[in-house]
Amino acid sequence: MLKRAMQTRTAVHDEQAAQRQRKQAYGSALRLTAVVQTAAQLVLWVTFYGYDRAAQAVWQSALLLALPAAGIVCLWYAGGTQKTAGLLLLPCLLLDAAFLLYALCGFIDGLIPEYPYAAGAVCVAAVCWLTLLLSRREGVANGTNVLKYFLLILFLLGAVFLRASSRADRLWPILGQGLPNTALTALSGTGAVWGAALLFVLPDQPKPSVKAAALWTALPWAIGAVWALWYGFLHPWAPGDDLRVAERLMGLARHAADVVNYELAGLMWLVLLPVSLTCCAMSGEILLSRACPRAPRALSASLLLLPALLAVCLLPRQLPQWLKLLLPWRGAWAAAAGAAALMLKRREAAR
Amino acid sequence: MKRLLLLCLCLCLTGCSHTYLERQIYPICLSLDMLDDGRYQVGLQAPQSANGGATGYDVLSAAGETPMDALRVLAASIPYPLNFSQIRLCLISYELASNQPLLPLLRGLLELPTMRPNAYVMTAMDSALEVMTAQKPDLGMRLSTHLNLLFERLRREQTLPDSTLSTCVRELGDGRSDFLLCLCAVNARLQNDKPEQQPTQPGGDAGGASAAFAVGEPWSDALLPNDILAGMMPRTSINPVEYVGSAAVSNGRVCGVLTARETQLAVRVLNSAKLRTAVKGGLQLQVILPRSGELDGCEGEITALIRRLQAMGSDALTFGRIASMAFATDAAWQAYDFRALFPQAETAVR
Repeated sequence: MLKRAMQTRTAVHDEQAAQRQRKQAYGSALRLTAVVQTAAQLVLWVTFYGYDRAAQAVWQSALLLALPAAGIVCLWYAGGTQKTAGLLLLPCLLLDAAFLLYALCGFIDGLIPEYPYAAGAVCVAAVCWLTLLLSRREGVANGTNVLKYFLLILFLLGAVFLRASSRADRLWPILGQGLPNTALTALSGTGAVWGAALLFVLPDQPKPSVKAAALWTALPWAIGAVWALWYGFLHPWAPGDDLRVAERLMGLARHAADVVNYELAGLMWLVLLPVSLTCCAMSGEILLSRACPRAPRALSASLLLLPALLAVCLLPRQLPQWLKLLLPWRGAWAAAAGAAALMLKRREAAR
Repeated sequence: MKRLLLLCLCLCLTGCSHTYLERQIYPICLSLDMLDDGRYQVGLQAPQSANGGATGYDVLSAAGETPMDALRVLAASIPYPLNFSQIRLCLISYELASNQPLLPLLRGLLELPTMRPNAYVMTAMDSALEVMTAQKPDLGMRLSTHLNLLFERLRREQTLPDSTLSTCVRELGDGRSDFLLCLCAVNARLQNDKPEQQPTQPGGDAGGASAAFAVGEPWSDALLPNDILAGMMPRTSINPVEYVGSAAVSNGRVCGVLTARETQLAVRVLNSAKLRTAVKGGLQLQVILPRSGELDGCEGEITALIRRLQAMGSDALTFGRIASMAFATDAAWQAYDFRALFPQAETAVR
């Protein structure tokens, strides 16, 4: 118990203080998992959809995503305290899980084409499921917390320090295909920032201060913007090119000056995607077990993984089209769910 | 301990493949040609022994309807899978590079699963396969080491344009400007193993009239101008392959040849001069040279170089990229039609 409290870096003198510190540390770790999930979704949105639509102006679309992110954060900051309100976010989590599993399986398929596509999906989902089942309640969140600097370093090596010939003049013509197109691209990306709601739903704690909430929200958004900026700097492919999943994921790294950077970029995806998928499954488990405490852990852990696995294995060809169609709506759904949670809270307060 | 184990596990994940490293073939060079019947010929130069020693190099080649078809035929005819992570040089014949769009060819190569993105792309006069076969590493050196040293030397002498595979694909996809590809050829006199008849000191008269080849014109030795052969490029005692200048790309194809001196000037201008454009009231191209340095007194040569590139329609000095910064949107940039204005643009070098 006292050992776990060491994560807070604060000296504790009794058991109660240790419990309190431990709870705080767990809350921070849960917020970090929300940051990792949102950052992964933003990075994937730029890679799969954003750059193809806005090309060199994709960073502006990523910057514009601050507006929907702020809206979602405001709604959930004000209203997301009911134990059942989080259940409204399950459809968004399900889409996240399907997207992550699709990207990860496509990447593994590119790395080892000899293995069956479905085998990769089953292996990945099974590993995530077992990780959730075998770990302690706080295990996934604390494990992600341990990996935070490792993930950040890999991200920086995969973009900022890729040692590719990134040049600022590639960002011109500065408005790309025009402001309306940039705004429309940002609209399609609103689905990637819904994860900001998890910052306030996952931790079962009092809300953070407004300043802290803004900082937590800005972190994944900044990561997404930096990723988009490097796509603009490098022009990794011509928009409209028909690329496979693995080619898209390694598109930026293809322009690395060194094979080591290229491999490290691959390592980034191989760490980020499974960690994010496990965090996603953990979020679903937390939300379900909070609403239905009697639900068996094996069931709640498979709540998101099983449908995502079935979608990836049974609809390998249709899934990309479905994802393209459905993913942008996650933002609207999260905002609507936040508004509903706020109304419920006000109604309860009125009683 | 747990973190260390996790890190090791993550690092191991990147190398998960069922093929042992020693049971793969690692080509060092790749060549692309177009045969008379319109099919593509792909050649690979790989070490004979699996341990990578300099025991000798085999050249394998196959033909197909597309480069990927040819590669598939090649892969099917050898016992071990190909791994392109050690490729240093991709040679494309001048004829192919000037007749076919380069983007699909090079993108296909770049997207090979194990391809090395920073392999250099070069144009070979005559047959790329012959040029590849003719190159020999010096003094028992490995071919990969020989090529690494050669590139380093060319880079130091500022005669190596930035033409890595990934750069070429990116610039071809972007389309706002062009680039140069290093040009190599077999010196027939050196190939006949008569090194004593050759000048031992690289250099010579590089200031004479140089040759420009019409798009699609097949290369022949008769067209090889003396000033190109007497280039300033490094030459080794036994290697008959000479790096004689560069090929200029325009609109996705090779459109002409620059001499070694012109290539050096172009690389120096790209590295150290400031480039500007004025787009209002007619396109104007400006090169502002550094106050002191290697480009002192080269104004006339640079002006002549720009005129040559304008005549070829090749924006290898990347003025297009700079001009595009004057426009707010892609539509405005497209409407300006830089490509049409570039050949007639005024130039100023100061």
